[in-house]
Amino acid sequence: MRRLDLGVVRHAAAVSCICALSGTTGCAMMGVMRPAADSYTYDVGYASELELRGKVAGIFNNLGYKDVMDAPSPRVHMETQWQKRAPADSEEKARGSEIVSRITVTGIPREIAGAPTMYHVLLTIENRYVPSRGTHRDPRDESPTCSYAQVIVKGMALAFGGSGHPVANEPRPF
Amino acid sequence: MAWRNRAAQVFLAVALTACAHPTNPTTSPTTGLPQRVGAAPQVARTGASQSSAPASTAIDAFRLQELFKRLTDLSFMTQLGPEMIVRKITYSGEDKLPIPAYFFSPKDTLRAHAALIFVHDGIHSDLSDIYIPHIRSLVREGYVIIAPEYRGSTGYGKDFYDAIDYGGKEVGDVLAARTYLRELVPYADLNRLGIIGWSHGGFITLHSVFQRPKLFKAAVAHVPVADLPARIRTHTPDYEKIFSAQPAFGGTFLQRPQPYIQRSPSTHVRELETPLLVHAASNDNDVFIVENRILRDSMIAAGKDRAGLYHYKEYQDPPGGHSFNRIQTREGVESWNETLAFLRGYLSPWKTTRIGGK
Repeated sequence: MRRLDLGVVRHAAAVSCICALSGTTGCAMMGVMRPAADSYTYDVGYASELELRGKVAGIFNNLGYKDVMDAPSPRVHMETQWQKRAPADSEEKARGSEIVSRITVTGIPREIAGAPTMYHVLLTIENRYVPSRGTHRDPRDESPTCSYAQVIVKGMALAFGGSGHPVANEPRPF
Repeated sequence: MAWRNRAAQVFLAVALTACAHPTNPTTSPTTGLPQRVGAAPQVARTGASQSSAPASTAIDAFRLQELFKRLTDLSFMTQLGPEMIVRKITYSGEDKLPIPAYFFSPKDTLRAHAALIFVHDGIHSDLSDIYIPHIRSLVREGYVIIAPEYRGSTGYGKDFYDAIDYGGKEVGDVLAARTYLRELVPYADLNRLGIIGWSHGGFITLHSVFQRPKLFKAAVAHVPVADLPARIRTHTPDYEKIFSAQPAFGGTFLQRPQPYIQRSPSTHVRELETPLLVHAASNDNDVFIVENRILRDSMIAAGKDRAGLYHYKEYQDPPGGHSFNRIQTREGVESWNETLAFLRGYLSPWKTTRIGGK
């Protein structure tokens, strides 16, 4: 059997730790993959289609977003435009980069015989950190923060009675 | 034919002596903006004495671009004409705008050849003769090549220049080149169609394969513009004006981020179904490496590398930076040889079948 180099073992251990932490914090990005946007998805509860569309439109409006996509399909898919926003916490502020975000709400139909269709509501928030003018620094090098997402999650979870637990905080290919 | 070539060469020699730069002399490589040609430099170019030339005789920047385009046409004809078919054609682009294009092909037109769409670089630029070595080696391999001068290109007047639609209709213009091949070039085998471009040409190449993945068997995007938000921030405010002045963008990045993000190749990586080769330079001072790292990471997150579709190589500080694989250096030659090998693997240019299958 080939002997494993100590450095390789240490590296593998470190990567395992990072992956494990990513799974538990519900907020960190996985490993070293840093796509154009970081993305956080949360389970925010259940609603009828009418309730879902009405409440989500109101929340988007309150946050200053415009609904740019409302795709008709078995799923409800509502998506805002990308929009500049202020830093949500001191960490984001310290980056000195500009931030644009987009919110997507997906309603997955859950059909129960004899009952009206209910939708399982998932909320996805994507952030793009853009370098400040004149720098070549990659803002993705900074550690990601989900403060902004959590502010919206609280409101949505309250509206739809969900836990607000993260379900997929994977880096999206964007 | 020989006398015509000699005459053209003499004309070129005289013209090039009078002109400091044969291609796009009026276009800034960084900003892409036309430089208003003042009296003094024009006098120098036309060879007249500075004192005797009134300002009113100054040649308009667009007329000058047209003149230099004619010189570039001649350069292609004289340098490549003896060994291949060289034509300047026009086809119908997106929304039926006539699109000029170069057409290069092996002389054997009785057999079907693999085909390539060759997308020129630069915002407000055009196909220049720096690509002659690349075109020569591709045609020698057996490819039929069409090189569209998509809307916004220089050398075709102000209206064509102003028609630019960055990441929009210009992509449609390039895709329409396939229709020209399908309808008018029976010896172009569209089952072996590839697309290749550098820089802005790489950007259009990426959009082309994301939008119409079924059309292409392989794609090469070298030093491609890959992420507009990062690009806008690594360039000057003047550079951003090229975008914000276009109706499709309708404002600066922070005023309207949506079109900038939507027109970034990095946004659409999930659509990749075509084998893609990308070479980038760590010392690129036009497409800063951050753009291609965003693209790379997005591709990896989408699993496109594991699927065998995305092939990326980053050269460390190669001579030439942004132009590293368009010049004759060890790195440039290595990159080009890898490009040819990559295309060979998917397009089999050596296979030529008699038209009609006999």
